[in-house]
Amino acid sequence: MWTDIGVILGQGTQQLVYWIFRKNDELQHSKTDLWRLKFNVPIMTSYFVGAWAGFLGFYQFGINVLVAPVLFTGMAGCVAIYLDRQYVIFLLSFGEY
Amino acid sequence: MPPAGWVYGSRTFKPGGKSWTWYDTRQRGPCKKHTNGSSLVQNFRQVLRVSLTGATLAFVAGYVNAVSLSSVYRLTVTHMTVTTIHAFFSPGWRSRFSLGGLQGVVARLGLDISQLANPSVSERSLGDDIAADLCVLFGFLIGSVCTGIVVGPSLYAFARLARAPTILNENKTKQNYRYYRMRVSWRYGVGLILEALCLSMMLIFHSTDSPKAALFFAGTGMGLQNSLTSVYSGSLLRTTHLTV
Repeated sequence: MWTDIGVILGQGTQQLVYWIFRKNDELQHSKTDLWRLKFNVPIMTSYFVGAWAGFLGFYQFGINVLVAPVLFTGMAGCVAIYLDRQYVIFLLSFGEY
Repeated sequence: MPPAGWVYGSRTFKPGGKSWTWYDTRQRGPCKKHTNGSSLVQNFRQVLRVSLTGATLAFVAGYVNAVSLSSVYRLTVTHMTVTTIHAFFSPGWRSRFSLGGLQGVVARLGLDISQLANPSVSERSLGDDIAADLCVLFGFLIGSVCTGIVVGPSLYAFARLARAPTILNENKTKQNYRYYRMRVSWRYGVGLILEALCLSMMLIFHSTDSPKAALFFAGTGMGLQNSLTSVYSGSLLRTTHLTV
């Protein structure tokens, strides 16, 4: 993630340099991977927010703070199974659905 | 001489216009929905879904990592090989702002093993530290193996390969979307439930004063999560190894 963000920033800088100096090069019109930032930035942000929440929670409530991620991941798993319920029904019917 | 392009079924990825573009032989021109770079993500809803999923799982990873760092062995369970911000999330970090305190599990393991020759260090505590490092490492590996067993080959890759020319229809672009997107599968649900079980085992073992077993299950849960998100997104997302 951190590497990806660095590469994207580098690509953006390269494009900026090309734009400033009007350099005629085959790379001038190449696209940057800016779309990756839509994924990388929320992930990095929520990781650090989660780390901060876990740190504060541990010193406030002890190891019992782990109940929150247990419940969350369990619920997310149930949601994923529910969203793909048609295929689960197909599997449970042994292919006769 | 530049390559002519790469052919994937009826589609070709080749230079055209200002950059490399997808071309469809049946459309006799560039694909409208398949442009260079953004081919992994097709629409706003998909971007939102994938980034929200990744962000929430990253929140869980950061949370569990902070709890693990704050507990007995002060070991990171999400960053195996690289420098972490270990010292900042534990009390007395100013006194432990050293190389050993800032490394991931593999580096710590190497440091511990190198200390075996040092007679001033007690063998018992060192052996304990090495065992804890190995618990996390093998836990992570076993988590990834579990994902491989549950999910199998990347469903994302399958989804891309499943673009049969007979199914694709130019007039039904919305129906064609499902062959490109990162599809939700019940297999990921099973993986997430396994992760929840691993984290609850971590909670139980930590409560019963078995920190090594707790570390093992924490590593297993994080390994499951990391490999699930990697497989889900075709290695676009990583929710635990952020600094790699």
